[in-house]
Parts: sequence; structure tokens; C-alpha cells
Amino acid sequence: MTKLFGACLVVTCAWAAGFAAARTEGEKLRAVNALHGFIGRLEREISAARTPLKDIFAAESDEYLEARGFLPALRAGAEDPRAAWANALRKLPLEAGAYAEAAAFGSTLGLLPLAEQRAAAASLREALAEERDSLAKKLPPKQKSIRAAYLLCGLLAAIILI
Amino acid sequence: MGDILTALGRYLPPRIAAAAASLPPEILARADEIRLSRDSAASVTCAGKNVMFDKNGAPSPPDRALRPTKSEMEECLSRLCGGSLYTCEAELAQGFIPLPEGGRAGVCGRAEIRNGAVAGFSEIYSVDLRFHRFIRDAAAPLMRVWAETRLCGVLVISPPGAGKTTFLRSAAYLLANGKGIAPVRTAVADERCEISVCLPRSGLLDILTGVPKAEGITMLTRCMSPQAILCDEISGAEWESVLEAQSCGAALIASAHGDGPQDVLARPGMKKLAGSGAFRLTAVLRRGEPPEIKEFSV
Repeated sequence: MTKLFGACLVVTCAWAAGFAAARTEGEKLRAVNALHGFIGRLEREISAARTPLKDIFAAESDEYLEARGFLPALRAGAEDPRAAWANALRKLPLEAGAYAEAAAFGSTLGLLPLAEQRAAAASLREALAEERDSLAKKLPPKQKSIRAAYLLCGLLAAIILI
Repeated sequence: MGDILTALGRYLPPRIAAAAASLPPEILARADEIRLSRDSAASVTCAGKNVMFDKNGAPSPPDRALRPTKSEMEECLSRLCGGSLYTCEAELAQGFIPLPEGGRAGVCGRAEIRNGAVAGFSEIYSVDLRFHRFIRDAAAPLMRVWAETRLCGVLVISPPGAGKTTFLRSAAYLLANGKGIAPVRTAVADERCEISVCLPRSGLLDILTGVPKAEGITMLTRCMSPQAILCDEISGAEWESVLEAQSCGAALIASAHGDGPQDVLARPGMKKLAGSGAFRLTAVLRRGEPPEIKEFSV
């Protein structure tokens, strides 16, 4: 009876761990999506009104970026936007490629004339859009595989236990 | 405190700010300029003298002076632009960056030319941060002259750094507030936001900033019906606007670089201006001496 109960517990835990791992994988898509939206708004503000970065950071209100600490980190270091960007970027669960693109954008943030700053934002936005589309295509089967793998591991452990 | 570091320290990279903060207090209190030159030297201008300093803030010869690095110059530029270079691109193309509290930082470096005009700088080599002071009675001698005669055009002449802008700032205050003469409707055409920095907003004072001088003088003449218009660093190119102002009865009080009237008259545009009778007086400024106010004989 105890063994059966233990086996059930192992299977349940494995299923929950698989679910959590799949969800973490989904966070990457959410982060890319939110960052893509933010860059689009930043690009529009710079183009339309030459709004200073610190004002853009202060006015931004994306819930996800706020909750992840990305926006608070940007606002906290608005006097040095490049350092603030590097710090804020670490708060997001991005794939290596998207992270590298965003980090490169941040290294010249606020140091470029209008046309070049706009072009840099547009380039990052396109890169993030590609990353987002690619993730959106790959994500559901990947999440399914992760959940299945965790569940199988749990079942195997339960069988061994019994 | 009211010293140069309190006003401008936040624009300096930490290493340079720390060194400047260690400068002898008598230098800090009287300094009116901080200059940074990439890989060359950091210095302050104090009572007309250039003082280079080392990493400990001690006055030092050029070979031991603190040398701002490329990244420090970039950091300084970023701080001056509030972290967003694109917000001051147009001014930067003219060689300066306006500061939020008024005033400006002069910059120079590798210029980028587009369509035959300077579009900006790809690299900044030097930054000149000037500290502005308000000395209420700097132009009091001019008020005494006007009290005896009447309000008329004055050309303020001095070499760079001898107090032209401080003199104009004082004149604007004294005129607008009627100190020494009856209050006068005073307009300031302040293209680079230099005269209006730390100028108390009181009396009959109208300030137009950010507009090129010639256009500003015309706008003020047409719209504000001033009795006196003040502007800094006038050149011969502004002569048409000045004449228009004169025809409306406004007295022009302007400044020009030079050692004296003869220096100014050597420039063709200025000769034309002076010949028009726009300036009846000259006020020649020299560091440490009272202004020399004379009839302007062309």
C-alpha cells in the first residue's frame, strides 16, 4: 500500500515538474513577444517625438516586463541607458540568439543620432519578430515532449519503486 | 555651495569628477569652466588662467595631467544628452549641447558632413562645460551712462572669457527692473540659452531662446514691442535684422569678440552694422578692469 502510494506520488510530482518545465519554455516566447512590443513602441516614440529614453522608460507599462523586473531595472538606471539595458536584459528568459541581438542594441543605446538609433531599433524588432515566429512554431510540440518525458520518467521511477 | 562642481559635476565621468572635487577650494570657488580633451588633459579655467589637474586634483603640468579616455568622453557626452543623443542632434551639429538647467556645453571632434553641412560628430574629442554666474551690478556703469543721456544701442566688446555674457545678463536685469533708470521693456534673443541662464525672471523681461539671433531679433521686434533687445555674439550676418529693430525704436545691446572697436570694425559685416548707427556706444571689457564705455566712432 505504501509502495503504491509512493509510486502515485512520484508520478504526480513528475507530471507537475514536466508541466512547470514546459511552462518555463513558454516564458521565452512571452519574453520575446513583450520585448518585441516594447522595441516597437520605443521606435515610434523616438521617430515621432524624439522622446528621451528615460521618459520612454518611465511611461512604458507592459505588465509582463514590469513583473519580470525589466522595466524597474531600466527606470532605476535611466541616467546610463546602456548599463540599465544590460541589467534589465538579464531579467528576461531569452534564447541566446535573441539575447545577443538585444545586448548589441543596448551597447549603443542613446549614443546614436536619430536615423541610426531608429534603424538599430527596427533591426532588433525584426530579429525579435523572427525569433518569436520561430519559437511560436516550435513551442507546442516541444512543450508536449517535455511533459511526456517528465511523465515517462515518473512512470519508470514508479515501476522501479513497485 | 554654488561652485562649478555643484552645477556641472553630474555631467562628469566619476574619475574626473572625483579629481575635480579634490581641486584646491580657492580654484573651485572661482573656476568658470571645465574642459575635457580626450587623451590630452582635463583642466579648469580660473580667473582667466588654465589650470590642468592630475588624478588627485592637484594642479599639474600637461604631461602629468589627468587624461580623459575615449570611453569617458562618451560617458560625458551621454550624460550631457540625458542618455539620448538623438534629442540634441540639431544643436550638436552646431557644436553645442543645451543643458537642462540652462547654458550649454561646447563640443568638438570628428565632424560628419552631409549635404555640405555639419550633421553631427562621429567622435567627440573635447568638451567645454561653462559655469554661468549672475553678477547683478556688472552693467551698472552702463546704467549710469544711460541715466545721463538716454537708452541707446551698445556694442559690448571683449576677448573670449572676459565677461560679455555676464555683462549682458546684468544689463538685462537692470533694464527690466529699472535699476538706475526707469524700467524698460527688455527682450533677450538668446539663441544658445546662455544669457538667460541664472537670469532672475523679474521686471519687464521677455526671453526668446533657441531661435537664431537674426530671426529672434525680428520676432521680438514684431511681437513684443521691446524698448531694448539684448543678444550675444552678434556678427555682420545679422545686420538686416538689427536695422529692422532699430527702425522700430528698440535699442540693441549686443556683444562681439575683439580687443576693441577697431578689431570689430575690421570685419566687413560689422563695419556695415556700425555704419548704420545701430550702436552709439561701445563697452569694452577687460578682465579685472571696469568696463570702458565710449562713443562708437566709425
